[in-house]
Amino acid sequence: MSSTKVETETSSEGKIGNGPSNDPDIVLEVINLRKYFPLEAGYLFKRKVADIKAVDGVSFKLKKGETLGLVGESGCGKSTIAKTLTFLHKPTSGEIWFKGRDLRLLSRKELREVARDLTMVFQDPAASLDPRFTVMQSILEPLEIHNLVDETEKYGIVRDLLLRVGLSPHHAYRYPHELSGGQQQRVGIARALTLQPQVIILDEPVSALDVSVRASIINLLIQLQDDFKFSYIFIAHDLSVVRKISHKVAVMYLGKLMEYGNVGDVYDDPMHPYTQALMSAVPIPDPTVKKERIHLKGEVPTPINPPVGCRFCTRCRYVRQKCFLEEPELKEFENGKLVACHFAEEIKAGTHKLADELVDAEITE
Amino acid sequence: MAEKKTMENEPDLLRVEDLHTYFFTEDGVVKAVDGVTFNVKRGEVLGLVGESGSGKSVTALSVLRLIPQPPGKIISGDIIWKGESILDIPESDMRTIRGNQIAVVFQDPMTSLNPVLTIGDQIKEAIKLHQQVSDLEAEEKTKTLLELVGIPDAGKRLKDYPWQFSGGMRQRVMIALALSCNPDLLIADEPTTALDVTIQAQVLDLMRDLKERFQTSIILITHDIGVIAEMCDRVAVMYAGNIVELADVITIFKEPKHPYTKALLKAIPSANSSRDEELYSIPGSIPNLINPPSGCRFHPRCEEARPECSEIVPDTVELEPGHFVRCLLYTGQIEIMK
Repeated sequence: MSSTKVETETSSEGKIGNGPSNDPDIVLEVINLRKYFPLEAGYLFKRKVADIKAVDGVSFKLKKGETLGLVGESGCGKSTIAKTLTFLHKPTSGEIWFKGRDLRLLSRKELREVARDLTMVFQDPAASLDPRFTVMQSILEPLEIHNLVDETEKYGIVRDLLLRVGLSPHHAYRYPHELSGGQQQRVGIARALTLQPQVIILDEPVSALDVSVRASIINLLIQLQDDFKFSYIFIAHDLSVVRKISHKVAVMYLGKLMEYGNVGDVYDDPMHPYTQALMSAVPIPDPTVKKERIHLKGEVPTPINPPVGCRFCTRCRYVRQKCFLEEPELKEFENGKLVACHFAEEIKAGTHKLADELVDAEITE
Repeated sequence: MAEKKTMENEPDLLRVEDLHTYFFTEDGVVKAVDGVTFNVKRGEVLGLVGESGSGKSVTALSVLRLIPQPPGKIISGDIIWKGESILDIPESDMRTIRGNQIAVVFQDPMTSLNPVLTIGDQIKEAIKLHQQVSDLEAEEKTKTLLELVGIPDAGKRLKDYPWQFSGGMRQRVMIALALSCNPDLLIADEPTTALDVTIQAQVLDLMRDLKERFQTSIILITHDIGVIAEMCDRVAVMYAGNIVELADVITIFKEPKHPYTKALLKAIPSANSSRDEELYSIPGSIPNLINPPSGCRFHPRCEEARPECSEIVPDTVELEPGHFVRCLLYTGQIEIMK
């Protein structure tokens, strides 16, 4: 009995900072993560009638000092992943390995300890700061929660953090409403840094900001990462911002990973038909460039009852019968790129015809 | 080329002249729009671009005379619609123009649609308000409009409520509603900001198609510089209640003259910029419009500012035909002072 206990302890200790893949560079590993929300019906007695499959089997690894960008349309599950990783939602199934431990198996107390190293920055800076707290109170709150406040040091901590994020020490006594949107977001970032975490999850951190302010926040995030080797999970719907800040990028659609790889490979040479359409839809800030746009028909299907085969089959221009029946696995290509498409090789080689062309050819025959 | 000539000779559809719209609040007078002049020709897309608080939306609401009053008021200036001033016409006359000749699409379709009326009823209401048609004709027209904006199964979806539509569909419904009376001018205030890129592409395509088919003029208000580049014929860059630069889209992107325009273009990450290159950011933040900076309103954040910029209010000069800039570097006012 006791020997097994010792065994588990040593095995987890030997794996500090990594998951089952046993690579010391990997700080966070997610395996087959699922998050279903129950859809309830009935007035008095709620009963579950279906599942909303917000995240349905997503795996990825996050390296130290690296940024993973999560992109996809609204409802694809990006924010659900963020909230599940920080345990604001409890995952339905799957493993989250952080610091050598599977978070799903930890008690509340242990989770709280882990939470120190896993912080989050939210989209709306005004809403995520308590309006009745001064900047100093907001920044110190995480320390208080973890009982780490040292009365003699706290002013120094706040001062350093404010300078670090490009504010001045006198901002410590201001209230959120006295700050501009960009300054509020800087406070939000300072607050995430208070506990000196390893992983920071950034959920649309610059979407609510103006262009000129946005640039300075992006620069700040990159600077902080270079200095402290934080790992970021960066969620944004603005694809050009994601490209700027990320090393790796994961494209999601309806709760599934469609394509994953180095940011340059995914942006410049998208292989999945969905990634291709997504990239072509981004407006280019240059009026002389006229680019070929892939038109996606229709809307994203409901995650309550997603398509059986490939999630993207209802809107894909390369669709075949197989896509409706079989779900594609993630296949590996050069540079570690992963693509979930039955016909990724053929599409890349240009031998795979569009579904429309195929129909036309049949008619002429 | 010949087509372009006739367009140039045609009188402007809309002219806004030296518009000043202020808001009288408890804290002081907010000079939201302070001397804005521009024109819109038939069949063109004019982009209004700028950061939040630059006066883009207030300009649009002033054209529609929808400024909440009080606290807002159009202090001076003129708005000429098809050759006639509409600033002083009675509200009843304005209602025949608003919705009928000038239509508007707002950013958030969920808050602009009435949640307790079906989509069909809302569009029919607009049609019957402005046109003498029977119930049946109005219904037919509603159906055609929904088909025009690409809503599948339009006949059935008439009876649906706004919450039964997705975000992109709702914005299409808003556009259908705006088009119900064949307007001459469509004011689109951040029409795609709340939408995903693929849906944004669909909505922009739809607007482009309308412009080509019906020669509808569009004022497109956005802070997304990519959308401006794709959609607009001419662009007005706004900063703190002023238009600082106005030119055709190619000139704005390729030969910007105003330091703010240049800074704005530098601040967006380009398609292939690497992670190590620091992104240009404009120092400081948007000024408080109750107490805007003296002289040129951009001077505290301007890289090319001269000492005189805090003293002299720049005039707007036309550098080349159609290219207007409001900056002391080009007006020659500094030399005159000396």
